[in-house]
Amino acid sequence: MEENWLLVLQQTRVGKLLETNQVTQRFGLSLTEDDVRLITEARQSTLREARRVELGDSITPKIIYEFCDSAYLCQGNYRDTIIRLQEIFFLYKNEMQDEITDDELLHFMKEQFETICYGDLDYLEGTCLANFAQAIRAGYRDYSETDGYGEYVPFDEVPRWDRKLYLDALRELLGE
Amino acid sequence: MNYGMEELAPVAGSLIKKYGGYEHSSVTYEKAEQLMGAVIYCIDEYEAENENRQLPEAKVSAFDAYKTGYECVVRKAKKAVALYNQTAAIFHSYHLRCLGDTFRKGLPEFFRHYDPRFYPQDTILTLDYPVLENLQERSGIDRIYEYLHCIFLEQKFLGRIPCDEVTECLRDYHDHYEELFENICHIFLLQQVKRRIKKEADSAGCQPEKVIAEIIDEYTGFNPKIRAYLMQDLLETGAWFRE
Repeated sequence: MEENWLLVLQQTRVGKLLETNQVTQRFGLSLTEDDVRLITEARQSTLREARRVELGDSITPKIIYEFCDSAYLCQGNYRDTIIRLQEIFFLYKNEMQDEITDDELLHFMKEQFETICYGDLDYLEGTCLANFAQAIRAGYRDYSETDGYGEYVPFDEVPRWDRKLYLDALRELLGE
Repeated sequence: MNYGMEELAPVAGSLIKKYGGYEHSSVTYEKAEQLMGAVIYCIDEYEAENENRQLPEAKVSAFDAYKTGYECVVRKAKKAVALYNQTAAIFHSYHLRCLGDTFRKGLPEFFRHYDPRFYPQDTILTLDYPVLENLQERSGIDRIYEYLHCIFLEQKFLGRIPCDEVTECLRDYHDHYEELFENICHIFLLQQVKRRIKKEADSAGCQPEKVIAEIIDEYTGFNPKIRAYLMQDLLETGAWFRE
């Protein structure tokens, strides 16, 4: 009985992952049954490592729907990127002590992945999310008003726009 | 517990969703353990209440058992507040710091922070003042309610004795009794037995248990509930004398 219940849950989750193809095919991305099996196995192992449990719907379809329109995803890296995103997601749910909701974290991850990291998952994990998690642990809560969008600027350690450098370069170009 | 994991997991799952406000699809092991503990605690409460009522056994679903059990927990919490107020009206700490702190500071904090939905099994307090009944196996509101009931019986018992007599007894026992973590009734009974045995010329033939029972009857006016509660001290005090 217990095994049947778990089996049904697992089959439902596999079905939901395959269903995502209907949306992602528009972006030239799709998962085979083998991909789904690998993603599911990776998710289970990540959950074990992160000491977390999912009892209802899995987060993976949500990750897929959030990231499928990314400029940095292609069929060649699709499956592995989803597996890495799962790892990062659960790691930072723990690091942020469950203060942030699934949607807020996904919105933040997607925005930085596109605009700051330019598709670099290591930078997303090691810099953007690490800085943001530190702020959340210190009591930062403004993201609940923005739903996780436009939140990285105050925590960005890299000066993205240097006015002096811009003016110097402009002067040089103009031959001053 | 008449329910297997396949029945409990969906109940815990729905509680996890409620806990996360439907905004978290996963929780940590520790949180899952806490929430599963909450489900089991409520179902245990439901089963205990059914046992007391001796209703004909008809298996209800885990969901319904949990729901009814949760209502039992909330009811018990309200009963505990009423009992607290009733006890507060007659309460005297006799300057024993751990009793005063537990009752006047600890218990109101418990009622303020107790979470019957997501953590009903949490006792929150360490309950520093020891009562005569062993409540180690109980937890959450169940333990607090029984603890309060013990305090209530003690206060009723001690209320029959002049306050000065109790404090004098405590002072005889220890010069700085205010700082002790011991039960007042136990100290009082112990001192009374000591005095009575001293009075009797042949203390070797005197049975401490018999003397304690006589003293309890004398002071409790044969109130069966208070008597039953204090009799729990009989063995311990008897053993103290044998040593």
